This record gives sequence, structure tokens and C-alpha cells, in this order.
Amino acid sequence: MTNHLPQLDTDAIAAMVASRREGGLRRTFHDILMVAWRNTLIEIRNPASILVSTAFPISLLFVFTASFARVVSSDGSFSSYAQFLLPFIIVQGLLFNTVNISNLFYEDLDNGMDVRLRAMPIARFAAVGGRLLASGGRLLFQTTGIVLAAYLIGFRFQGNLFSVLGFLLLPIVFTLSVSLFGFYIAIGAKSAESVAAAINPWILPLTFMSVGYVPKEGFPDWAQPIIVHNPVSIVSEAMRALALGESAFGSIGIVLLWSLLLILILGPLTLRAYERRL
Amino acid sequence: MNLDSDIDFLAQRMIAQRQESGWRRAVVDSWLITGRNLIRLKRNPIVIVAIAIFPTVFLAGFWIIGQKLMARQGIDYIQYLVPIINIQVLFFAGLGSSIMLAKDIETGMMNRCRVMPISRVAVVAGLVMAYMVRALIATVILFCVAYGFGFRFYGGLFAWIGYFTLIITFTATCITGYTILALKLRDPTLVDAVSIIPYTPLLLLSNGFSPTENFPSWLQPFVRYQPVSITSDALRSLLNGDASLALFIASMAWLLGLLIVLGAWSVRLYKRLS
Repeated sequence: MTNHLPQLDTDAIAAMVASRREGGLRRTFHDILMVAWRNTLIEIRNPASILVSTAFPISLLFVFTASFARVVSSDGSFSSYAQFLLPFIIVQGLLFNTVNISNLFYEDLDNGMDVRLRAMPIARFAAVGGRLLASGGRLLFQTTGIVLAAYLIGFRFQGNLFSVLGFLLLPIVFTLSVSLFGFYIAIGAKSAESVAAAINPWILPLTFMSVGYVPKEGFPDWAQPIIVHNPVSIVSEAMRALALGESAFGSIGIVLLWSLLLILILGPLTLRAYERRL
Repeated sequence: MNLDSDIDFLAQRMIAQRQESGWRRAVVDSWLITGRNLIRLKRNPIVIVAIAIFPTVFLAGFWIIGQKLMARQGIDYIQYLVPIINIQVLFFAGLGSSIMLAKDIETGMMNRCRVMPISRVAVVAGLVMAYMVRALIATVILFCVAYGFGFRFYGGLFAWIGYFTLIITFTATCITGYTILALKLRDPTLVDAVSIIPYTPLLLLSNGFSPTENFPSWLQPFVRYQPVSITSDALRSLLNGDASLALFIASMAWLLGLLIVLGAWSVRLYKRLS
């Protein structure tokens, strides 16, 4: 039977592969944008998810300002507490979002989207990179929404344009590196609900045990070292400094180091699990 | 003609044999559906997170951020906090029940029950009872955890009875309210996304986490008199051993009043379902 098959022309195959041009920087960028646009369209056509996850941090911001301002700051001014609280509310709101981002990823894995992507002539990295970019867009939308709401209750940027940009981008970078953990969970998960159940118990203590709602002096002495070194605290502190226009290179550096660490550890783990699942 | 009356007679007998109505039948069928729902809850790992881990995290979290600052205002924060965390646990039961009901509607379980010879109320009663069991278990777990943080129940036997009466009534009202969401939207993911909207303002704009005086003055009337505040005041007075009958009655009046209004609405939606 085998001698009936035509002789494989290796040159022709090489030419075919070359014409598909799956590699290369330009192609990779193009494909990332394509996948990102596809994911963004999913978000836009199902706006309930993104609107609720923007409205929830805003309501937390209002409610905590109303109920805790007089407890935390001695002068009892609501706007100065809003200034203090907003950075943390953003970090927390974005971290809650890792659940939605991971669920979207899980659904793609579940209904075969990723297998489909594999069979198509697109850059390999685009499947992951496009998703991260789309998630970043979603997070930026949320951050902007929360900041605008905070302006209503007395939050103000006091720095220049660069510190505003840093304020908006820093929590997004941090959250994206944390969402790799969510991706890793999503790859191993058996249902969309178990993704949420596996992520939430980590995020809640991480946010409570930080200088988010109250300054570190509010905590018991034994807890203070944990509170101070919690990355969520460091992000919040860096953003507070940026909002006031102060220099925050030290804490920004530590945040970026945390993100780098998460990417270095979780990146390879996630990619390996991903390859295996497909 | 003769044949028609035969069929009529036969149909009457068959319906009589199915015995779909009557109190005994309603109770038996409700138990059956309760059992089915409890099995579903037991097999779902997320339930453990909802009844044990979430309350513990919220209790520990608010205690750790609040106890030092609240002590400045003269409040023993763990005693102050337990009622509102308990109410939060009951809200979670309500949230869960609406998602389960929406799933039953979406998957056709509801229609299936409709064509079977079981009592009409069984599907709803079974849902309420299963989540009642879940809420009570979660309350007991919460008490055990809080005990470790130094919480004590100072009331006597009547205080215990009063406390659990309020808990059960609150759960019933909460679940009834949330069934409206499921019956209106009928889509589990949408219900999940929207279910947080009634919960956040009621729970957080209450005197449960922070005393009314700490709120802006224009908000204080709402904060003081809304049902969650009144109920957490009543629960707090019961567990601190200085039970106030007025608060208990005020809380019951709120809860039963809401139960009647929400219940009537929910029954109307339920009847229109098929």
C-alpha cells in the first residue's frame, strides 16, 4: 500500500510552512491583536460581567468611606479617607477580577477554542498574549471607572501626567501577573465554579491583611510585619504616593519584582500545564 | 356518549389516585425535594467554601482591621461583629438558593417536577428547607470559629431561642426575596452576577460593621432603621445578655412584613412560570 503514496516533496512542504509565516515579530503582534480583539468582543457583547465587576468596587468604595472614615482618620474627614482608600479599592477590585478572567479562559479550554487556535496558522504565543492584552484592557476600563467615581467623593490626583499613568498601570501589571495563578487553576479545573472556589480563598486574606482599609498602626503588633510586606500593601502604598505626586520608585520597584517573580514561577508552570492539556 | 362518560370517570379516579393536593402530601413531597437539594449541596465543593471558609475569612478579616480602632470608641469588636457576619452567612444562603433555582429552571428540572404527581409547593419548599439547613450549619460553624476569637454568648435559654428565631426568619425572608431574582432572570450566570446588588448596600450600609454615629449624618436615618441594622441590633442585644423585647419585635415586624410582600410577589411569578 505504501508505495502507492506519492513521494513527499520536502521542498514543497518547507515552502508551505514558510508561506504560512507563523513566526516572526510582526506576525506575532498581528495575531496577538487579533486574539485580543476577539476576547474584547466577547466582553462587549456580554457587558453584565464587566459592569457589575466595575460597580462592585465602586459601591465598596462609597460604603467603606461612609462607614469607616470616622473610625480610621481622627479628623473624620470623608474625602481624606477616600484619598487613602481608593488605591486599595482598585487593587482589590482588579484582584477579584482574576476570577472572571480565569473563567473566560476556562470556557475557551472547555469548548475547544484553544484546540482550534492550535490548528490555525497563527503565532503560538498569540493565544496567551492576546488574552493578557484583552484582560489588560478590561482592567483599564474598570480602573478608569473607579477613579472617576472616586472624584465624586473627594479623591484628587496631585501629581503630573506620569504619576497618573503609573497610578493606572501599576495595579494592572500586578493583577495580570497574579492572574497567571488563575490561568494555572483554570487549566486544571473541572468546572467554572471550582475556578472561583479555588481563587477566592487566596484573594480575600491577601486583601484583608494589608494596609488597605486601615493604616498599619490599626493592626495588632504581631501582625504588622506580615501586613507591611504583603504585596497588596506595597502596591497600595505606591499608588497612594503616585496619587499625591510623590516619588515612589522604591515601592514601584518592589511591586515589579513581585510581578516578575510571579511570572518567572507561574509562567513556565502554566505553559507546561497548557501544553499538556491540549 | 357512553365512552366519554367512562373516560371522564376514569380520569377523575386517576387524579384522585395521584393525590397531588393535601397537607400530608405537601409535607412528604417537600421533604423529598429537600433531600435531593441537600445531596446536591453536599456534593458541591464550593459549598464548603461558602459555609466555612468565607465566614471565617470575613470574621477574621474585619476583626483584625477593626478591633484596635473600635476599641478606641469603646467597642469590643468581636461581640459587635458576630451578628453581622452571621447575617452575611444567611445572605450567602439566599444567593446560593437563587442560583440553584435558576439552574433548575434552565435545565428543565422545574418542568419535570410540574408533570410529575407531586405537590406544587414541594419544589419551592424543598429549596427553602435545604438552604435553611445550610444556613443553620453555617451559623454553628461561625459560632465555633468566633469562640476561638474570644466571642461569648451571654444570654440565657430564651436568648438562644430568640436568636435562632430571628436567624430562621431572616433566612426565610432572604431566600424568598432571592427566588424573585431567579424567577425573573432564569439564567444562572446572570443571577450570579446580579445577586450581589441587593446584598452589598443592605449589609454594608448598616450598623453591623460600624456604629450608626460614624456615618455621614444624612445617611444615618437609613442606616439606623433598615432591616439589617435592626436585626443585627436585636441579635447583638440577645447575645450580650441585655435582650430588648422592643428590638426583637421591631426586627420580627420588618422580617415578617418583607416575607409577606416578597412571598406574594414570588408566588405570582412562580405561577406564571410555565
